[in-house]
Amino acid sequence: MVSSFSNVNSGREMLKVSNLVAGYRRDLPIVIDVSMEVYEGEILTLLGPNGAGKSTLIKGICGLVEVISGNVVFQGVEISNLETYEIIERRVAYVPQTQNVFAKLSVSHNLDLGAISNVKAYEERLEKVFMLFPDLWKFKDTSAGKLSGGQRQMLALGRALMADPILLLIDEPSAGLAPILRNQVFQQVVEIRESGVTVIMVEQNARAALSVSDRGIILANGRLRRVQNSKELLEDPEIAEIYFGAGPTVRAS
Amino acid sequence: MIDILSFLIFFFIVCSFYIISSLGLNIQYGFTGMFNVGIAGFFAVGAYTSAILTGPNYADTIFGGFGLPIILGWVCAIIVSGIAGLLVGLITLKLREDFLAISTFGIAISLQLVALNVESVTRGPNGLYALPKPFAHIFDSPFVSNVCYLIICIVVITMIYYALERAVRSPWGRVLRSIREDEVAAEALGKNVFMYRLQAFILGCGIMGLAGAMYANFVRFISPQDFLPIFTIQVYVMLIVGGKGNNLGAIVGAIVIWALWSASDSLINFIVTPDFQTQAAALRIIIVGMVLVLMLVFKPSGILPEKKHVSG
Repeated sequence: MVSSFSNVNSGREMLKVSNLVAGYRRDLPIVIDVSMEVYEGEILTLLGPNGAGKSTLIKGICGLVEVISGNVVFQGVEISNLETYEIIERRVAYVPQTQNVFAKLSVSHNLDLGAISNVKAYEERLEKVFMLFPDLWKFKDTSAGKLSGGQRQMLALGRALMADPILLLIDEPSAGLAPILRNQVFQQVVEIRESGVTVIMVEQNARAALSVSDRGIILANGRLRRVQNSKELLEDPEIAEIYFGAGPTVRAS
Repeated sequence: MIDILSFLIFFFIVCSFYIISSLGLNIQYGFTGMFNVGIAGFFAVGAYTSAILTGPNYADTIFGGFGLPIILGWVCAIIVSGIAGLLVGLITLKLREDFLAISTFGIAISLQLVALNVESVTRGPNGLYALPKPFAHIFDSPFVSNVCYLIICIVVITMIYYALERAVRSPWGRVLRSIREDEVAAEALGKNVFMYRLQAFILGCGIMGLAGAMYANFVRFISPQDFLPIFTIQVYVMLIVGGKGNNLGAIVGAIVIWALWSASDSLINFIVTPDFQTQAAALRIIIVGMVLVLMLVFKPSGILPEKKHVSG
């Protein structure tokens, strides 16, 4: 599983988005006519400039913004007309971007909120989350507001895992984190995938994100521009210039 | 001595109606963040329900005078106010906070106008009178029956307090607080936010209705004048001063503000000449308003702030 690129084509199709138009207002669509597939076991990164519709796309998948037209099929079932809680019950979890923990509640209460019904597996999942994020165990009785930015991100990820998802949607896991923590978070995303969870993440740190993901999707102005193997995207000079900023070679000349 | 004692008993009985309303509001506003400005309306629904079910038969009404036992009147008051909460909640709880406030305020005013105008049931401005009071027919002395009533109030408050404490410490209560903190995040965790809000709203309205019913069977006479918006404002001040999100705070706040309200009443009667007393009554509102402002400036979390770590 560690050699990431091999499993893309072999994986079964888990999610299929067809001609999706979504946004906060019907007359102002943010995501326009996006079609894509997500395969079981992959890490898929959504890239693009600010306002490209990356976050709106994953919010559209989990029902947090209105699907104006098109549809989303998850494991053979259309979910685009379902309420968010019904989608989450189908084992999709969503991690919002920054400010994503309940600051007044303790770490363990935050985790409890992520758990849905299945009491039997609760202890087991909690243990798994604490193993993945040992810091959370250390601070389990602290209120989440007192955690550092990196710890909050871990808490948000851990809380989403409490729902025992098979598809995890993460909105900018590295936002506001120092480079060393950024790599740590991406490493944790890889570990989450290795435990059998398919991941779609929105990222600004294109280079770092692509290096841990299988495929990348590039959005601009709400439309899908490219869908490609991460490795190819990383090596593409055009992409490098537009999305990674000027590379070191360019700066030297 | 007995004068002071009977005054204190009377004071705490009336205070109880505010305490219960404040506890009901706490589950809605304090824990879930729903800005319900229709407290007086749900209080009125409870009061009229119990009055109609337990009251005598009046010559000029077409409905009511069932003379049922008081306890039945109270239980029905909870149910009817809860249903009122359900209906109001279904149409308003998807609204944003400020719109929720405006619509509940409007609904409460409408309910008061209904009470004023549906004379064949409520006798309009003449009100419903001679309502039964518990123990009043057993003890001749109003002092003794008031002592009994105070005991009932204390028992009811204790029961509501412990029930709410259990509720807010349960996983259910935790979801309510998560909704208050961040509705979208709670939704993203797979919680049916609307259902949770609706449940908390119904529970709070039922408790407010019980307070109304207990009020009706204590004062034995209710009219639409008793259910003006000032009641809603008073309960809000009580909860905010006492500490929203803390059930003990809701109780303490109600006692403090009701004491202040009563004391300023006596003070005004004492210093203002009778000619101006009607106008001077507005001073009470100014005094309580000032307390609210000072509290918000210097101790916004209230006398007893919400506990950060409510153990599960």
